[in-house]
Amino acid sequence: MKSTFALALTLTVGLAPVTASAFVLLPIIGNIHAGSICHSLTAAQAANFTFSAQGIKNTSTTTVPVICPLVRRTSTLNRLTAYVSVFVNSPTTTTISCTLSSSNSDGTLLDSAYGVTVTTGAGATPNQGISLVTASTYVTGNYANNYNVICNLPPQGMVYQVIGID
Amino acid sequence: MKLTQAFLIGVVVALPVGFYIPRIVNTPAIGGETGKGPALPPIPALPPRGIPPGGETMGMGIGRRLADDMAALGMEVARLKEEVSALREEVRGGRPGATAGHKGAEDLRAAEEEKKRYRERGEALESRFRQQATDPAWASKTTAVVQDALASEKIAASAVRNVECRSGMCRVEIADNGQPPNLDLFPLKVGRELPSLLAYRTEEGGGAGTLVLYLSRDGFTLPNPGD
Repeated sequence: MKSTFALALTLTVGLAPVTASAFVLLPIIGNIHAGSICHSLTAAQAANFTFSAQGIKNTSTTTVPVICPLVRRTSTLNRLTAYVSVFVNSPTTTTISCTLSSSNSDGTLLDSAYGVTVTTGAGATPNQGISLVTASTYVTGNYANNYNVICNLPPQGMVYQVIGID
Repeated sequence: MKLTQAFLIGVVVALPVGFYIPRIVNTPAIGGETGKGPALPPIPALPPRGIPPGGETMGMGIGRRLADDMAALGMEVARLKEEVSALREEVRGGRPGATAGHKGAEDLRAAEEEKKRYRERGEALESRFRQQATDPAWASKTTAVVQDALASEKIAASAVRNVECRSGMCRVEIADNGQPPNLDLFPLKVGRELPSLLAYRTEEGGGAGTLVLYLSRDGFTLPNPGD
C-alpha cells in the first residue's frame, strides 16, 4: 500500500511540468478601461476636467457630461453590459447618472440604457458602481457600430473605470 | 525496502516524461527548413522495435510506449499547426479567388439578415406599444418630461412629429432629412422616468427618414438572437 502511494506521489511530482504546460488560460471577456479614456462631449466643456492615472475628474463647480467609448467584440451576439465605477467625492448627497448607448455609422441612436447612483461623501476607493445593459445585439454592419457610456459628472466627481462585458 | 524501490521506479519513469512532453507541446510548427516557420527540434529516436516480450524491463516498456505516444502527439500538433497556418493564409487572402467570392456572399447575407432583424424589432416595438392601455396621469406627466428633454436637446419642434405616452411606454417620432438628430444626452435627461430606449428608423426616400424612439419605464423583453 505504501509502495503504491510512493509511486503515485512520484509520478504526480514528475508529471507536474506536463500539466503546467498544458494549462490554458480562459479568454477574458471583459474590457477594463481607465476613466481617463473618457472625455468631454464638446470642446467648450473640455476645460472642466483633469485627467490622471486614476481617471477623469470634473474640477468645475457644475455638473458636466463625459463620454466614454467602449470596445465591443464582433464575435458575439450577447448583450453588452457596462459597469461604471465612480468616485463621488461630494460632502453632500450627489447623483451620478449614466447611459450606455449604441449608434450606427451615421450617428442614428439605436438603443440606450440608463442607470443612476445616489450617494454621499468621499472616499479613497470608488464608492459607487453603475450597471448598464444594452438591449441591442447588433455588433456588425450598419446598425450598431459604436457603443458609448455617457455620464453626468457632478463637481469633484470622477469616473475611475468603465468596464464592458459582452 | 519496497517503498524505496517504488520511489526509484517512479523517478526513472516520471523524469523523462516531465522533461520531453513540455518540449514537444511548446515547440513551434515543423517547416523551418522550407522557410515556412520555425523548425521543430528532432523527435528523439525511438528504441529499436522487435525486442521480444520479456527481453526488457517493465520500466523500459512503459518508457517506450510513452515515447511512441509523445512522438505521435508531436506529429499531430505539427499537422494541426500547419492547418491553422494555411487557414490564416486563406483569411488574409493569400490564395486569391479561394475565399473572396464566398466571403462577399456571406457579408451580403449577414447584412440582409441584420436588416431583417432590425425591421422585425421595429415591428415588435410598434405592436407592443399599440397593445398598451393608457394611464392618463402617467402619460401626461411623462409626455411633459419627454418634450422638455427634446427641447433642451435643441430638436426643432417642427421635426418632432408626435410624442405619445401610454401606461409604461412612450413613442416619439422625429423626422430627419438624412441627418439624424443628435440625441447624445436625451437618454440621460429622460432616464429617471424612462430608463430603456430602443429606436427604429424608416427610410422615406431621398435620404429622408423618420426615427421612432420607444421608451420604457420597465425595460424591454424583446427576443434577441444572442440570448
